[in-house]
Parts: sequence; structure tokens; C-alpha cells
Amino acid sequence: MSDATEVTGVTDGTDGTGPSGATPLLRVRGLRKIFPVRKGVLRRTVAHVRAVDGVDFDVGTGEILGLVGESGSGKSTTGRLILRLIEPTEGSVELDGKDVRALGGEQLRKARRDMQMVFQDPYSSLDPLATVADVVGEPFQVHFKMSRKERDKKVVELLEQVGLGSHHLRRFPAAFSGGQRQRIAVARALALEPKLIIADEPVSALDMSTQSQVVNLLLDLQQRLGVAFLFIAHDLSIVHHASSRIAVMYLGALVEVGDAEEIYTRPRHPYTEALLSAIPVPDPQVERDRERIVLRGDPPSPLNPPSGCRYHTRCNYAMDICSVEDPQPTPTTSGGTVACHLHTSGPTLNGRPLSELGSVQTIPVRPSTTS
Amino acid sequence: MASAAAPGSGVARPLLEVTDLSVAFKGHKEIVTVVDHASFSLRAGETLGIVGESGSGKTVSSLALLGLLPASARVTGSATFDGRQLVNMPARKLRNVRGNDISIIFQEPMTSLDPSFTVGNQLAEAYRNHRGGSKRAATARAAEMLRLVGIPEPQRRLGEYPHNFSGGMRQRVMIAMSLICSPKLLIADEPTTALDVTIQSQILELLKSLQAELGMAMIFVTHDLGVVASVCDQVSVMYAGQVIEQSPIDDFFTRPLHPYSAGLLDSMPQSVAKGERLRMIAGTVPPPSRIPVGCRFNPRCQYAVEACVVTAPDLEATGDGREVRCIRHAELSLEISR
Ligand SMILES: Nc1ncnc2c1ncn2[C@@H]1O[C@H](COP(=O)(O)OP(=O)(O)OP(=O)(O)O)[C@@H](O)[C@H]1O
Ligand SMILES: Nc1ncnc2c1ncn2[C@@H]1O[C@H](COP(=O)(O)OP(=O)(O)OP(=O)(O)O)[C@@H](O)[C@H]1O
Ligand code: SF4
Ligand code: SF4
Ligand SMILES: [Mg+2]
Ligand SMILES: [Mg+2]
Repeated sequence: MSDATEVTGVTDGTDGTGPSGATPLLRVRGLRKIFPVRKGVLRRTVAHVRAVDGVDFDVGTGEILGLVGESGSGKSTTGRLILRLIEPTEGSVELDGKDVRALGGEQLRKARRDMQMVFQDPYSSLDPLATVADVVGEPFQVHFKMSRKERDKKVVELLEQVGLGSHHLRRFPAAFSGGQRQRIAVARALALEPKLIIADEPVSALDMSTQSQVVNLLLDLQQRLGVAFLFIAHDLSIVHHASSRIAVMYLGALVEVGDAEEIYTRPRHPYTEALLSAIPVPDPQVERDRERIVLRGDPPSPLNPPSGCRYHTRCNYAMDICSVEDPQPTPTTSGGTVACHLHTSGPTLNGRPLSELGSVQTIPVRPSTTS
Repeated sequence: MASAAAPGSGVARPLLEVTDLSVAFKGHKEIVTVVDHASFSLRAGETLGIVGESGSGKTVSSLALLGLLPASARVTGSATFDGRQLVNMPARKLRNVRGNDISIIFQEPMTSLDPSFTVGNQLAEAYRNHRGGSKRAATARAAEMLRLVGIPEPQRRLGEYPHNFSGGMRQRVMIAMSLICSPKLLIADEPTTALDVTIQSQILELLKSLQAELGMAMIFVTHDLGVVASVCDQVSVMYAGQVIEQSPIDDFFTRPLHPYSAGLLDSMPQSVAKGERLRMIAGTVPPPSRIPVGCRFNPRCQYAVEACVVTAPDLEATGDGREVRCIRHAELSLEISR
């Protein structure tokens, strides 16, 4: 079963990390953001949040990389760091081989045009006093000084691409539902035909059918225009569907990166496995009968991450070494990487799927207290 | 599953019965009806899912129940909760119902928490507003609620401001806030949309266990059909301001009655191979000011016939506990195979 994938993964052209020597569109190395936590009238720093704690990944030209993980694990912060909406504490972000942190003036403006973001919260991300024509058309005005008429024509095209009619042109965001607002935000991000769109939960607020339209739109844009995406989402079935590779984040670190199909069907990291097991399945019968992996304990505070492997307080496979040593990324048999001691000590999986270990502790989804 | 015989209700009288609820907004020139004669009901301890296209009126109908719409909204129809009429109930009485008997979790976590007060302050106030008691007791209750929704170090977190929390954490705070007075009915509008699946499944389990414990009923507005399958007993589907189907979930997932319901089920990624274009319902939902004549779904319906552009179908009971608004429902067979 796994033989076929074992050989190919590494040289896969879509894999930004391929050894072919080609520069990936986006190259992130050692990215770190530590937020100070301030207290009291003097705003003294009382602690630090390691929101993003040394993250490495690439996004190839025209590739869709999915980024998933627990709430608070640092996904949005990663997106903001890449765009330099906030300054990293450490690490580098290269776009087309150029370090974004070193750019200034015109070059920074260009880089910003090439990278756009669609935000998580469609409510607070749109200016309530601007009409749809203003919001979506603003980039045309700022960058190309287009006349209002030209601008409106462009805006109508973009609205059509995201499934909104031209009659919305003069309406204000308040008059739209959540889903409609998110489509407006996608339209705006598309305006300058960027090379990379960082889409932070772009479909989370949308209904199924509209989600499909937006995902199809992203796939279209990727295929037609070669736009690459960092697709942040928590719906693994959508991420799996749309992405070629997936990166899984836990408490500021990437625990597993690899081919989307492999991650989805043969996870290498215990957290990925738990994440998959938690997805609700759209079938009531299956939901009643299925078993789920129990995650022990509470999610730990990012102020005070656990020693060693930061997942060890909740991991069902934890070994003695796990609370002592931080596991380093090791290659998987399918061309990805995983950071977990199971691969290098104990059962020494050497990058093979977790399923080879046999059964884990599970509980029925619904305790047997019918009626 | 849902208690068919709800605790404490000798007769199976619904806890909430919504009949012909309509909501219209006064615009610049015209009056626009965005919810049109919506009817649904639920019993104590039961969970009703409301699904439907974005803009179909799910949020507006939930807000209408609690008198939370802006003054430009006109609400008509009836919504009886525990024998009391909610529509046009005086503001003071309604405030008492709200938070005490009925709680709501909003769709937008950022805008529903006040950025200038600590989370602990807001939670404790929510409790004291309805239940009184000392500040100290309320703060202890607040910490307990934060722990219940899975926020680490609840004591310390009480003293922090909303902007220090991630999107998902803010939503968990909202959930804690809405449950702090142990309501009889919880209306949750996309409560887990901002959450990752492990926390989502913990919150869903939490809501289910609180429901079993308190006999709390829930209305779950969501577009996640997986969530519907895992927590709901009944599902109501809305399209362009109308309820177009209400069914028990098992029937809904295997044998939807309305072509729009079938289209929704078909648009899930599970229906196609990886990387393929997802199926979707062609076209877009009409704006409330341009509702088509006849069946509102007719411009997008692959089963539309001539009669569909003439006659506006009523919501009809099918006799087996389901309701549907489609003139062809008896002849169509929309089985879902996956
Ligand atoms: N400006 C800030 N100051 C202090 N801490 C912050 C700030 N922004 C984020 N954090 C913290 O950094 C961590 C990561 O937050 P982030 O918003 O990146 O998470 P996320 O993965 O996007 O979560 P979600 O899925 O809930 O959106 C969280 O613990 C959060 O509380
Ligand atoms: N304050 C308002 N004034 C005028 N129209 C409004 C107002 N609030 C909502 N609407 C309109 O009412 C309709 C229903 O909106 P609602 O927010 O209920 O949709 P929804 O079904 O909750 O959608 P979503 O899934 O995107 O949240 C939409 O057409 C919206 O534009
Ligand atoms: S390193 Fe240890 S604790 Fe961490 S995921 Fe692997 S087995 Fe679990
Ligand atoms: S009434 Fe006609 S148009 Fe409407 S859903 Fe039924 S078949 Fe389709
Ligand atoms: Mg986020
Ligand atoms: Mg809504």
C-alpha cells in the first residue's frame, strides 16, 4: 500500500522543499514570535507567550499548503508574520528568494501586493463605512489610480468570481450576512492578482454550498492564475480536499508536515491522529457508533508550555523521554517530516504511519446512557 | 437520543413553538422581508439544527426570538416559550428571560465581548445581573465556567482582556458566559465555527452532557453538517427567508425531501474525489428585495417545472413527522448515496 508513495514524495515538483534546487515561492525558516504579557498600570512584562516558536516550511509556486491546528496554536500569528503585519522576534521569511524583512520602500510595497490576506473574522475585517465598491476597489485606486468607472467594472468582475451580483456594489457591509462578507473579503484579496494568498479560515463562516463555491474558486485561481495559498482552516476534510500538502501546528510548533493524502489517511504524529478522529462525520449513524481518541487533560497554556515534547501532557503514546527531550523533525517515508520520539526511539517507527502500532485507547462518542 | 418524553412536561408540549415568524427591515425606499412565516418547534431537552445558505435568515430569526434586532426591524408572528409569548414582549420582561431562561451564543466572538473589561469581570457581571449574590461568589462561578470550557489556568485568565485570547478561546469564553446561569434553552449561532476540531468535539460533548444534566434544549445554527449529525435530533433548513424542510436527522441525511437540502448534502467534499471541483448548487441566493415569483428556489432547481414559477409552495406536513415546501416532493426521490 505505502510502497508507491515511499519513492516519489521527495522529488515531487509541487513540494516546495524538493531538492531540485528551485527556489520556493515562500520560504519560512526559524520563524518565532514571542508576545510580552503586560500587567498593571506600569504595563510591566510579567510573562511571555511563545505564539510561534521556530517554524520552518515552504510554499511552492501555485501550491496550496494547508495549515491546521488547535485554536491558539499560532496559525493566525504565522500568517501575520509572513505579511509583516507584526514583526517577528526571530527567523526569516523569503518571497521569491528575497528576505521580506530586509525590504523597504517600493520593494516592500511590491511584496505586499504579491501577498494578500483574507482574515478569519468577516465581521471586523471590513470597514463598516465603506461600500462594497470602495472596499473591493480600493487596491485599484491605491496601486493603479483607476477612475471610479474603471474600478467599478473591475469590482463587478471580482464580485461575479466570488458569486455575488453587481446589485451589491453600493451596499454597506452591515447589510450582508457573514458569508456574504467573507466573499467580499476574498474578492478584495484577488484584486491585485497576488502570487500568494494567506487565507485565514476563509470558509469557516460559510454554508456548505458557498464553501464549495469558494473552495472551487481557490482551486480555479490556483490552476488558472497559478496563485499559491497558505490555507489556514480547522476543517480537515476541506483542507485535505483543497491542499497538496498539509502542515499541522500545536502550541507554536509544527508537529507534522507532509502530503495531504498521507496526513489525512496515514498520520505520523499522535496529535494529527487525534485531530482526525475529532472531525464530525456528516452521517448520524456513524456519529452514534464511532469511537474517538480521548485527549487527556486540558490544552496547556502557551505561557508555560510543557517541557520536552509540548504534546506529552495529552498524548496517549507518551514515553519517559517525551517529557524531557524536545523531539526534532525527522523525515517520513512519504517525503514529509514529523517531530515525535516514536519515530526515533521506543517503537522506532522511522517515519512510518502510526497505524502500524496497533490500537490506541478510544472511547465511544456517546456514553451508553440511552434513554 | 433526544428525550421523546421530556422531563417535567406531562404532555409533550413543545418548550418553544415558533409559528409564522416574519421579520422585515425598513430600508431607504422599501420594506424588505428577510424572514417569511418561519415555523419550527422544539421540546425540552431536544436539539434543533438550523442550516441554510448564508443570508437565508438564520441569525435574524434567532435574534428576533430574543428581541435583539435593531429598531428598524418589524417582527410579527408568534413564538411561545414555556407558555409565554416572546414576540413583542416588553423589553424589561424580555431581558429577564434572556440570559436567565434563554441564552444565546453569538456568531461573532470579537464583537460580543467588551474589549475594555476583563473576561472575569464580564463573566461575573453576567451572573450577578440575573442571579445576584456576592462578587466573590460570581468570580468563583466564572472561574469554574472557564475551566468547564477548557481554558487553561482559569484563575489567571479571569484578569485578562479579550484581545489577549485567540479567536477560539474568545468563543469558549462566550460559551462560558451563555451557560453561567444554566438556561433552559440555549441558542447557539455558529458556536464552534472558530474552533479547531478537538476543542469543538470537547465543547459539543460538554453541551450534550450539560443538556442531559439540565434538560436544556438547544437551537444550533450551523453550516457544518457533521456537527448537525453529531448533536441534533431535528434539522430545519432555511432558504431565502423561509423554512423549506424540517426533518429528523436520520431521514434528512439519507432521504432529504427538498431539492435544496439534497444540493447541500451533495456539496460536501465527501461526495467527490480529492482535488476535484466540489459539487455546488449553481447560481446564488436571491437578495430579499428580488425574491422570485413562485418557489423561491426555482431559478436554481434542477427539478423545476412550469408550475414552480407560478405557485409559491406551502410548508406541508408529510404525515411522518416531516415538513417540506416543494410542490414536487411526493414524486421526487432524492436519495443520497455516498
Ligand atoms: N497581540 C497579542 N498579544 C499577546 N498574545 C497574543 C497576541 N496575539 C495572539 N496572542 C496569543 O498567541 C497565541 C496564538 O494565537 P493565534 O491567534 O495565532 O492562534 P490561532 O492558531 O490562529 O488560533 P485560532 O484557531 O483560535 O484562531 C495565543 O495564545 C494567543 O493568546
Ligand atoms: N440590520 C439589518 N438591516 C437590513 N438587513 C439586514 C440586517 N441584518 C440582516 N439583514 C439581512 O437579512 C438577511 C438574513 O441575514 P442573516 O444574518 O439572518 O443570515 P444568516 O442566515 O444568518 O447567514 P450566515 O450563514 O451568513 O450567517 C440577509 O439578506 C441580510 O442582508
Ligand atoms: S514525542 Fe512523545 S509525547 Fe510527543 S507526540 Fe510523540 S509520543 Fe507523544
Ligand atoms: S417547488 Fe419546484 S422549483 Fe421549488 S424546489 Fe420543488 S421542484 Fe424545485
Ligand atoms: Mg486564528
Ligand atoms: Mg448568521
